[in-house]
Amino acid sequence: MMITQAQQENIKEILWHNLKFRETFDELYDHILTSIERTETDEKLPYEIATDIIKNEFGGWEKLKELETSRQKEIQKHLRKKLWELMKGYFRFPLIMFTLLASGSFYYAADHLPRKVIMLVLFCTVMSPFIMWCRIAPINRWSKKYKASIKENIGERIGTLGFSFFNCFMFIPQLFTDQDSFSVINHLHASVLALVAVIYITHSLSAIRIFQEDLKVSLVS
Amino acid sequence: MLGEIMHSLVRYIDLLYICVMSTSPLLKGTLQTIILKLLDDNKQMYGYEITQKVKELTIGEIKLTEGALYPALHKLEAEGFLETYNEVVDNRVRKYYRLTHQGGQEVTSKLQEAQLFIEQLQLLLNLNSQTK
Repeated sequence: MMITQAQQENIKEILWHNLKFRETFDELYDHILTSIERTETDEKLPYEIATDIIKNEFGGWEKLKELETSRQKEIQKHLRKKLWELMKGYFRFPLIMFTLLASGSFYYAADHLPRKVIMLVLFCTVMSPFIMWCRIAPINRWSKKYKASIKENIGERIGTLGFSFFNCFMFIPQLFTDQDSFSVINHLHASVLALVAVIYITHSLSAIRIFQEDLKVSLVS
Repeated sequence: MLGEIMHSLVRYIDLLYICVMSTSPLLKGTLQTIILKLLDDNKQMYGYEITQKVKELTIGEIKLTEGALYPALHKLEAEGFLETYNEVVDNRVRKYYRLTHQGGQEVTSKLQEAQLFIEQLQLLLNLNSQTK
């Protein structure tokens, strides 16, 4: 069946308003248009065929919402589990050698170097997954043409987690007061700082791997 | 080995045909295996193509509903067995699914699992003598 541009736009608009995520929208729009194009009879209008497909093949709009929710949950669950597994990997042989070396070096540095340098290193560590998220972050989020993406949302959560903790506990307290007592980083014992750094480093490295493997984002072009 | 598995899978499709009175519950348990096998044979496919391929292979006897197909595809993708890539076809985005390395390994294990299940089912229900 031939489908006109106006008919395509009509179907697109209906799907756009009823679906939450870009992934589902793209997939469904293509599925429905392909189905209509391969329909041999002209008894029904494209809009009617699209409604029939949604109702009979997908089980209606409610089922589609469930499909979107379950997809989001599946991906979230898988990526969180993977992130956790990757982090745990840094505390098992052979990667524990790297972790021990990093924590030892950080303990030594925290004890001998100015805390501003330590803060800069921590900042760079938390910034790496954040930069990776920035590469896929939507710039037109408030535009009418923007549709949220499941992977972008998850990327945002993973990429900004370390950065948020860093802001809340280390960076922001110093912004609002000159009192040294509010500067967490200056008062932490070197061992605690080494522990914090190890958590940040393992989280950042695991997050980077998730961005590269699952979200197909690289740190450099 | 693969020939035996394929033979068993074809036999299973036959069994599904015989048990046509309740095709969908039987099909549901092996949906992932069917998807993985199709993608193993065809390298990359999109959702609509999979439904049509199943229809074609079973001569229209098994109809895979989209409501069952897409959750299965998404689950396999989330588990890392499938990966997707987009292509623009006729001014719209088409999402193709293909096996990952992990998915490629999973095909063999799922097919073996299916073969074992079919053999056990045949023994349990004594289907060989009944279908002759």
